[in-house]
This record gives sequence, C-alpha cells and structure tokens, in this order.
Amino acid sequence: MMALGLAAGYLLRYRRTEWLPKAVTAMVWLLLLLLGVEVGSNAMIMGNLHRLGLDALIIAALATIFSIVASAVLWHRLKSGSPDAGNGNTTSESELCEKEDGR
Amino acid sequence: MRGSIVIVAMFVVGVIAGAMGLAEIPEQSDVSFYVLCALIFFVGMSIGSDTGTLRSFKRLNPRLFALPVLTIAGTIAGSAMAALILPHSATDCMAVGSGLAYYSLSSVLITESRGADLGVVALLANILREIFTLLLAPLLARYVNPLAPIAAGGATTADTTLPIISRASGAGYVPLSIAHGFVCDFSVPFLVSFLCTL
Repeated sequence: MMALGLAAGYLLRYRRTEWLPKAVTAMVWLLLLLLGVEVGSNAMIMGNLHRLGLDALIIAALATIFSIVASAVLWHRLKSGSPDAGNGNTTSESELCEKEDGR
Repeated sequence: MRGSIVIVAMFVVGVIAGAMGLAEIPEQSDVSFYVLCALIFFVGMSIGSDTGTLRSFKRLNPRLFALPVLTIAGTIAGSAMAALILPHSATDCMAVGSGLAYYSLSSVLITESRGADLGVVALLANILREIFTLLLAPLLARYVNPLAPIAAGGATTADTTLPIISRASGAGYVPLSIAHGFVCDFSVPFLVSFLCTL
C-alpha cells in the first residue's frame, strides 16, 4: 500500500496536492476515534489502563534517554575533533549548526 | 498545538462513547483496516509527491543525517531495554518506541497489527515523548548538549517542538532540527510496520 502510494504520489507530483494533508488528518482522527471506542468498550483494557500508562511511561522514558545518549556520543565526537579520522569524518560543530552571522 | 489537542480529544471522545455503550464496533469489523489502508496510501502519496523536500535533502550536508540515524538507533535500543522490565516482547516495545513521538500514525498502525492494548501504549508513550521534549528541552540544551532536545523530539522536531528547540538550543539549530524531523517522520511508517511484522 505504501509502495502504491509512493508511486502514485510520484506520478502525480505536478498536480495540486494541498488536500492530501487534510485527508490524512481526517483519517487519523477517524482511526483514533475508532481506537477510543474499541478501548472504551473493552473492559479488560479499561481495567488495565493505569498499567498500560505505566508501560507507556517506561518505554517513552527509556527511548528518550537512549536517543539523548546517542546524541551525546555524536556531540562528543564533534567536540573532540574526530580523532578517528580514518573514515574521513571531519564534521565540526559549525557544520551542524548554522551560526546566525554566517548566513 | 491545536491539532494535538483535537487528536487527543478524538481518542477521549471515543473512549467515553465506548465505555458508555453509545458506540460499538462489531466483532468482525474491517472498517478501520480499510481506513488504515487508505491512510497508508495517502501517506505514501504525500511522500512520493513531495519532490521539493526530497530535493532539499540532497543539498543538505550528508553529515546532518548522522543525528536522526542515532536518534532512531538510540530509541530502538532504549525500547528494547524496556522489554526487560515490561511484560511486552522486545519487538512490541521497539514498535511502540519507533513511533518517535509521532503518536497519531504509530498508534493506529500498531492497533491494526498488534491490537488495541498495545495501540494505547503507543499512543500514550509517544504523546509522553512529545511532552518530555517540550518540558525538558531547555534543561537538555543547557546541561547535556544542544543536540539532545532534537534527539529527544524524534519526529516532532520539524513542527510541534521546533519553537522550543529553537529557543533552547539556538536558532542556528533550526535547519538541523527540521531535517531531523523530516527524516524521522518519513521513517516512522516504515519502522513501525517493519517492527510489527517481526
């Protein structure tokens, strides 16, 4: 389905597609409404909502922390001037961050 | 911001309607499956027709892509760790995490392939990630590094969390933040559906 959509979108790329985001938003709303109804009418999920919320909190926290750690690794490599220059990595902070006066 | 409130409101209205028995989904209903197919098709269509964004990616410094790749890798690693303490399988946790704070799309994708309970976890987890980012961005930028708020924001760094990132990390990080948001945005449907098939 995704591949079909990608192909259709590419073929229609010169057409007007302003309505697309609206259609996507409307379908997301409908699906979340349906998810809500499904959750609300399911006693087992409603009874476990606090546990599902806790699971969500733990996953969200760990996912966020680990991506921050990954960013810190990148940051320290940039800061330390990439001593492992073997791969030609000479990224510097200024390449990631456009300084205001540099524009 | 208004969009996020409407999305949460839709879900809450659905929960209330379902709990009070005002609305009911027949046991063997395929409505949401067909809506989801259409949604995936349109998401694919908007990516495919968006040649402007694709072209602007080519002009960007390819090293900018290191950050979104690390964000995604960190997210998946962190979610896998969550499986150690939670009663969900590692792939379930990774599918939830790989929503990258794009809660609307990831929760409906996961609901369809993994059921409503994991769909709820995905919705809440990814809303929480956006809230964490909005609340913690100034602290992360000051005490960790200016890239940290962008990594935390996942797929939202091109839209909802961009203003706070711009203020916390500095306006110079806006182009990186937008590129990061786009890459993560595009990755979510692929990552979530891939992890759901494992």
